Amino acid sequence: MAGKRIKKELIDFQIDPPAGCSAGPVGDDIFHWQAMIQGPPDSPYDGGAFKLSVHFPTDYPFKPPKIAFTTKIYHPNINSNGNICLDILRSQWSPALTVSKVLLSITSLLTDPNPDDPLVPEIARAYKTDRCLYNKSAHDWTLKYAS
Amino acid sequence: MAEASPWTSEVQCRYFLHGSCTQGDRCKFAHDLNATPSLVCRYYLKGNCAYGDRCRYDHVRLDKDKNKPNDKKFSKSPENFIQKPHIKTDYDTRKSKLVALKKGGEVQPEKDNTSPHGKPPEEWVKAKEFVPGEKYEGSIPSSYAKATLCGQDLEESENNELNNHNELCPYAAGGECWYGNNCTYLHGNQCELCGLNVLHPTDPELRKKHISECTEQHEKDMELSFAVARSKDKVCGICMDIVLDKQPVSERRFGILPKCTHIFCLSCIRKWRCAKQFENKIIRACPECRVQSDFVAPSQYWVECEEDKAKLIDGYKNALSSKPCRYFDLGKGECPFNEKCFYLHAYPDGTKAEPRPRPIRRRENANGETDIINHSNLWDFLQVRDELDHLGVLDEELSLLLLSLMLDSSSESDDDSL
Repeated sequence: MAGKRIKKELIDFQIDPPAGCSAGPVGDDIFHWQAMIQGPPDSPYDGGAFKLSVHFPTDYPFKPPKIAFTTKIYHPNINSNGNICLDILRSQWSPALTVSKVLLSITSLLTDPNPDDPLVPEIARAYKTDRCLYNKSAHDWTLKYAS
Repeated sequence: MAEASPWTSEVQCRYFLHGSCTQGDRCKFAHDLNATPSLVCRYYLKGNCAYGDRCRYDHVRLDKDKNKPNDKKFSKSPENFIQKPHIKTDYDTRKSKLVALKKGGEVQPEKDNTSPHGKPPEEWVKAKEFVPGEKYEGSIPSSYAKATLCGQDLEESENNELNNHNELCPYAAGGECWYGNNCTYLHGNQCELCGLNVLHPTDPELRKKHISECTEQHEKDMELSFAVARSKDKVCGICMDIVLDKQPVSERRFGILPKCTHIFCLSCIRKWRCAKQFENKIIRACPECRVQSDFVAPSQYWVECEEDKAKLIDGYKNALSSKPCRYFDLGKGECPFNEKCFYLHAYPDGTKAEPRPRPIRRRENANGETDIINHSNLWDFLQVRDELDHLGVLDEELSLLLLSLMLDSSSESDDDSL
């Protein structure tokens, strides 16, 4: 069932890709995708292209896909390994969610970080106390790693 | 054939005919491959058997002159004659009056040389093929079980015999009757709705009855085709397949959530609601809108309007209430849902279980005394709160009313003083 549903998602994704996102399988393995998100224009990540890896579990969609950034990014909810702290990828997963919806959620997470539930406390602190420093660092990292 | 009752041993075992009788030698019905067919397909006789070559029943035209093969078998033993009252022949028609008299107890012709059922053995051979008929032909049994019962209810059968001349020919109803104008049965007029020649030519009551039945059937068919049309392109939100196109066919069922209108197939939504790694409130919620529903009602077709949904859910609950609860386990276990459980809580003797009393809870109040709390349902708190809210609104309205009254009365008193 998982494979069938992933194929359907791939077709839907190719027909109607969400704004600023692209995704597709790596090689022949339908369970392993690579995705790319463009930094949202109203954020310090503007101009960057961030790569992510998507691994589908065998009992997808009853379990969430494992999604991680492979490009380094300065963000309170994304750590140095690229792990993303996003509720819909963990406890709030729903089988009605798709890769395209999740990538859109990640894009909006880039625009609006959630510093109250941080994965990297230092960046969260910077975001809360010194927004200018945060914006500069995020922009610098984007230029350095994601351009 | 141990202890076979005489009449069943004359009847060909239908399972044996298809090579699947599990009773073997103990079977009470005849195991004889050379026997003439006893299970003639009634749909074939009417010319519309949908199964064609694959039909389990025999597709043979029964010969007019030769009489029906298994009638001979019936004629072999007097006990088989219990079928007789439902088998119509010219002879029967002629005899019907005599039978009526006999029933009245005045005349009892042929008493001596007959079986207790009233016909001489030499006439049994004329017995016609037993053809289970349409439902409007009330006297003809629709199943073998009913057929065997009929013999016991002789009086009723005799009444039916009286009505012979009033019955419609099932062959003509389905298209062609070999007897043509010589048929002892009535040949009905064509019904516009079902296309069968089943409208009684003289009795307006029967005509009306058939038309109303036909209309009802037609409405049901329409409803069904609407349901199919409504369901046919619905996509499950989980597997993203079209539910009615799923394989195997058993998967083509909708799981209807009572609190929202999102579409899922039954297997997907049930699997999701059994997911272990998520919190209860996540898996009990609709995957699309996150509105929680307490259960999933299975449905063959998609239901949209509230009325249909309520009907479906009622039907589902009714069906479950006759199934024993596996937690309750005939009184051996305990069901966590107690009186809220949809399944049947009954003991082996059939008596229904009373809801188990809730455990008594104690709590210490501010004065150090022990309070006993019998019932603490969340619902009670909600209800009390709602009622208080309601009263609050009332209070406001009342005070406004009182205020306006007071103002009115003061202005009036002012007028008076002037």
